[in-house]
Amino acid sequence: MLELILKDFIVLDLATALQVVLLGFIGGVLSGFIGSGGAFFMTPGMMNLGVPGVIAVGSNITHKFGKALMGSRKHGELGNVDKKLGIYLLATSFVGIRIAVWINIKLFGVADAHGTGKGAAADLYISLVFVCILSVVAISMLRDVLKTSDDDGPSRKITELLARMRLSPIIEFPVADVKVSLWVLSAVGLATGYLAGTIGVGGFIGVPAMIYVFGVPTAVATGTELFLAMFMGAFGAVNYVFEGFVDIRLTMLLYLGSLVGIYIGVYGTKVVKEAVIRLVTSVIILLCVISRAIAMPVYLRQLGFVHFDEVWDGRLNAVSKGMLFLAGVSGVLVIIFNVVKAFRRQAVIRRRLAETAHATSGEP
Amino acid sequence: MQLVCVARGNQERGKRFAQNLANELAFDCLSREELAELAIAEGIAVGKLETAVVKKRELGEREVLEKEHYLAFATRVLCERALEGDVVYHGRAGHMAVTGLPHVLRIRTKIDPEIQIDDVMRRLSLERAKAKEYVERVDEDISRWLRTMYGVGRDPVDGYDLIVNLDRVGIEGSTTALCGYVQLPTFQATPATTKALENLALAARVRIALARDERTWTAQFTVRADAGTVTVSYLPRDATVGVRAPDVVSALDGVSTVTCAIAASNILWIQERFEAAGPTFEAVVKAATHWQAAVELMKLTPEPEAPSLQEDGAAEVAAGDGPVPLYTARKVDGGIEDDIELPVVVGDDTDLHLVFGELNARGIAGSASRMAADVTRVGAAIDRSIPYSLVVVGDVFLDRGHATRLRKTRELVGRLCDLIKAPVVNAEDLGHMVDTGWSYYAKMVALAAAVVAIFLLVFTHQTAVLEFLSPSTILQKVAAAAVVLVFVPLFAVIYGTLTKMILRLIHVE
Repeated sequence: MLELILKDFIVLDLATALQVVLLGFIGGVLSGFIGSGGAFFMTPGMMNLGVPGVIAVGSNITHKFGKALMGSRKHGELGNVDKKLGIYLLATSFVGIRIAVWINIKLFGVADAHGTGKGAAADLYISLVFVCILSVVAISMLRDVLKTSDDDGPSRKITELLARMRLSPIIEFPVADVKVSLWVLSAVGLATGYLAGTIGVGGFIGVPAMIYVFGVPTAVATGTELFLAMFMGAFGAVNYVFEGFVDIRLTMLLYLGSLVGIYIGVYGTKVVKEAVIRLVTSVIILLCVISRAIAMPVYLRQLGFVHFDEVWDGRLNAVSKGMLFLAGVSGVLVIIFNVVKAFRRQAVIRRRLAETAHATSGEP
Repeated sequence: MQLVCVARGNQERGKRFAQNLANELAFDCLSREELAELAIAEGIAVGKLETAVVKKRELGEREVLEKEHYLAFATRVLCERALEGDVVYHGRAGHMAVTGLPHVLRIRTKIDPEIQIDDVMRRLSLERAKAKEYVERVDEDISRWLRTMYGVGRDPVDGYDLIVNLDRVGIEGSTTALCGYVQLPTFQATPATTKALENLALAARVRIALARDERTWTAQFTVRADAGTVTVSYLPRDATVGVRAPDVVSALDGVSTVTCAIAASNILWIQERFEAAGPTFEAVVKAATHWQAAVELMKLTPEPEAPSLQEDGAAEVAAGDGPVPLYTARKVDGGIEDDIELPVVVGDDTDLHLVFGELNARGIAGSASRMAADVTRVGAAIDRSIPYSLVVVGDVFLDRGHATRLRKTRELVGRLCDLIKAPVVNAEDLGHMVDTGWSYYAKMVALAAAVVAIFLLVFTHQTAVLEFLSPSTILQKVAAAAVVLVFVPLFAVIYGTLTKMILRLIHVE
């Protein structure tokens, strides 16, 4: 059992601190590359190190605020942030978040006939939404990547269908180079907010929605999502600080890894083919879906819908966590492999340019 | 030792004429079909090249290498056969594989299309309309093959010593006439022609060895041989592979000395408004001078309209997909043009005119063209068979906002990277060297010190910090929230900037 400071905060030794830094790095790479995915990895990761769940969530959301700020700044330098689109989505997504929170609170009180399993209904509902929505997203993305050639971009079927419907008023977003109906925008913002509030991974929905529904280029969708995440992170951080659930030490250690990771991830979006970005994103989402599906029987048992030995709860949770880590680590390895490949190609160019500069300046 | 090349295309009568001629002269006879079979047996993907030509698509990087391999193989076979004895070769343009040999007799057969259609109707049992379509399609394919493989058209005059009209003179008559023609002193083998044949055969063998070796197959080479001394040239972009060439070829029979050289090449500079000064211009000139490369300019015009440019109506073409050539130079070999006549350019292209003039004055002007600024079209319009050593994407999409411009430029660079083997860089990468002077390091040290200080402060006062972040009163809560809202972005910016500077030093940016 780890020693706690002030009842809620863990004592940090060097090994634990380094593991938090590593978690931050992996989350940062995923976040920079696919615009989302850091939280799903870092929060359970910290919980595995003995950090109480609520502190892990609070510290992570505070970290998300600064990380998203840096990420969106970097994406902004590359021309990948459509602030106008971000603000529109932010406004509507707050309404969605409120609806999601209301539903969660109602379900949290539901228990089985014996009064046990309180919270399991909410967990089951969250997992069910997670599995249903994200499997549709992942499979659609995967199908799209596999059936299109390298020269093709993402499927524009939905974008074109909506464009033909001409639902006024239409708003133009010059950075993303798209025109979107206010109604479609509000529906997506609402859905993104609802899902962010329900399953805590708005980026998994926001990024594909921007790509497939609005027709936004992948890199701009990622950058704009980080811009959104910055405000959501700030809002979440204030709320958790008010309740005393932020461990600033963990936040700082996460930064040590994540800011390096996020730069590598963003560099990846610059040098890796769009098809590869979409492929990696969809595979990571799919692995996360499998991870959540593995944990669902536990909630069903707690609610009395199925019956098996309680000892299986721990095993299923362990497998679920393992799957989650597999998703994060394998995703990061693929991204780093591609980044290193592109980096070596760039290095050759730089060497030749340097040779040219030396030769023409007469230096040895 | 004599070599007669008959360009007979797909004509059945042309084939019979060549075989008759070989019989009458008692020469060895080799057809294109036999040559292709030999090449396939050697593992050369002739079918892939044929398919690319029939499907009217540009050769990819790998197919360009396959093409070089095939051409070298054709040269080797023809030279070796000619060294063994007298040969009649008949095919599409065999003489192009043995350029530089003065004694080769180059004949082109000609036949009335109607007779050719009749021949096809009989041979393939086709109706007239279908036979006509077949003849036209095959002729088109052959024309494209010649352009793709040798960069020449099917002009009946250029490159031939004799045109034989088979439907007028007939196969027998033509054969009789040619038997006398072959005896002319011009087409006789001499010690000099034998030496030239040996040199060409050796160069072809070396080129094939380079194409087959896994250390060097990825690079484009030009090989010359002279009495065992072999000179291998490669493009600047293939420098790392090119240096391995001596290891591959020095052990080959007939090779006594191997010399390597970097060949001339082309640099493609894509921009919307050109300036004959400034860092991009200077960097391009430096690279071109060092690599002995010619600079090709491609001016992008904002979509959708392309302004009128030349008085000869070229602007109408601009509405299409491809680039509008403004000045042309030797495109394929990357040679440097010294004496290019500058045409009068009107409209918005004076910038291009000035830059081209400046490049021309320095002897590094290649060609210039203009096309619509569209990421997809620009990628498709670039000839991938040209051995570019560098592609520079300057200021483009200038009519867009800053963020959109950055993104679209990056998209264009990314697309070109996928399509072209040569390095593709934007102007910033080309002209900009990271300022890593003392001020850069001083800033880095200051930021690192700030990060260490913050860590020390927090981690040596952990309990106090955590107590502060566990507020109980509203006032304490507001204070804690305010501090976090200030501290978190501040720390993120300080550490983030430090990270960025370190990664920039190692070129991850």
